[in-house]
Amino acid sequence: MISLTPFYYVPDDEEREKASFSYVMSLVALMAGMPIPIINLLATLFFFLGNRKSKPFVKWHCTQALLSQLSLLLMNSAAFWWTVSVFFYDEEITNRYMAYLITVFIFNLTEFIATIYTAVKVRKGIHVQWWFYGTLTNLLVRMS
Amino acid sequence: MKAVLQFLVIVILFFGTWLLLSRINFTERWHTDRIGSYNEKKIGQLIWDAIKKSEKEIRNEKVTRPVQQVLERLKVETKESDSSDPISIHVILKGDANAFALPGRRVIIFSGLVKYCNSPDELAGVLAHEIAHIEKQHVKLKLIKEAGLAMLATLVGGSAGPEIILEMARLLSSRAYDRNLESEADEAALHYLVNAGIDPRPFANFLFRIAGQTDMPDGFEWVSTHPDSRDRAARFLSLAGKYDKKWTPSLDGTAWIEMKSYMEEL
Repeated sequence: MISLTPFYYVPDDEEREKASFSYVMSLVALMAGMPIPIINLLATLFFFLGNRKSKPFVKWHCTQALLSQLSLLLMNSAAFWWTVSVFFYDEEITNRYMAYLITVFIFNLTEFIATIYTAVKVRKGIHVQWWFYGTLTNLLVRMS
Repeated sequence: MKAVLQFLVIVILFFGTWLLLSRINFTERWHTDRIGSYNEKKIGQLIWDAIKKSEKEIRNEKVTRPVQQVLERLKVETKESDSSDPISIHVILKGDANAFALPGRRVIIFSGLVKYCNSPDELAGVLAHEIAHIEKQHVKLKLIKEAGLAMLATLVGGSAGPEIILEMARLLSSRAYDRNLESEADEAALHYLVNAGIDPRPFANFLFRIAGQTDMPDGFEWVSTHPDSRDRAARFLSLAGKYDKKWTPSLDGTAWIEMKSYMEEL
């Protein structure tokens, strides 16, 4: 699901730090225990906007981090509002609801581990490409 | 093409996991009942604890017994009368003429409101109205509207400070319900009163009286939280006029006089 490939140039230390930080941004809101799923996306989006004109290595990883957060937002938003309706309206807890929460948890956990792993590797200058998100990022970010 | 295929794999993986997990009977294994009411109760308890700390509850039998009697009369005819989760009423020593429902099936009445009532049937009307807000789930709606979901999540999570809880109590006691909810509560209150054999007209009089308060005394909260009293009173009276029954007072005269005298002494 994750491939380690050499980038077409060797990024300098500042680039590595910034690129690594784009993944850390998506974890900051999670660590703060924010219940609203959009916070993670916003943190990554602001970091992306601030670095979209950076050097290719930074730009590429900011984009991959942002894209991964987008899909998580959809899953987590559904989980959040479903939970809200269980807590505050008399929606029943069903097997389907529990299964959804567990599925979302598994995907979040996978992403969480992948994010930490990627942040560490990218800090060392290793180019980490995720399944699907990496491919999509390659299509969106022009590398020359 | 590669991205589309990879995307499809992720989608299949997600829905496949969800579908497979759905086959496990979590609800039976983890005994998950409805937790909405549990959270409402928890929030209600937090707010009530905060009110208890800042205000004095009247626990004298001269007050609690008659109020309880009126409640029993009303409860007999509501559909939740045999519920294992009864409504509780607390009388608070406070001059403001106010009464409000809290989450978790509690009604708070300030002594000022009891003093303002001219008869036990007027008090029964106010109680019926507040009980209707509870039974019709209005309290929950108001809570969400006033506090917001993020705040409620904080409360349920137990990380809200005492100031936040007190602010919540203030919001619930001082903000009006939507007009539609008020009308619905009036109709339900009328139904409770009529079914309990309590004359609903005194409550209409009460509404007319508070609507006519031009020099509103300080702390006359029930009026500000229940706007359009004159219109509501007229509507209530017209609805009440449809019933021709033999009414019995919600309380005997002695208990009512004793309660009022006790209140005056405080």
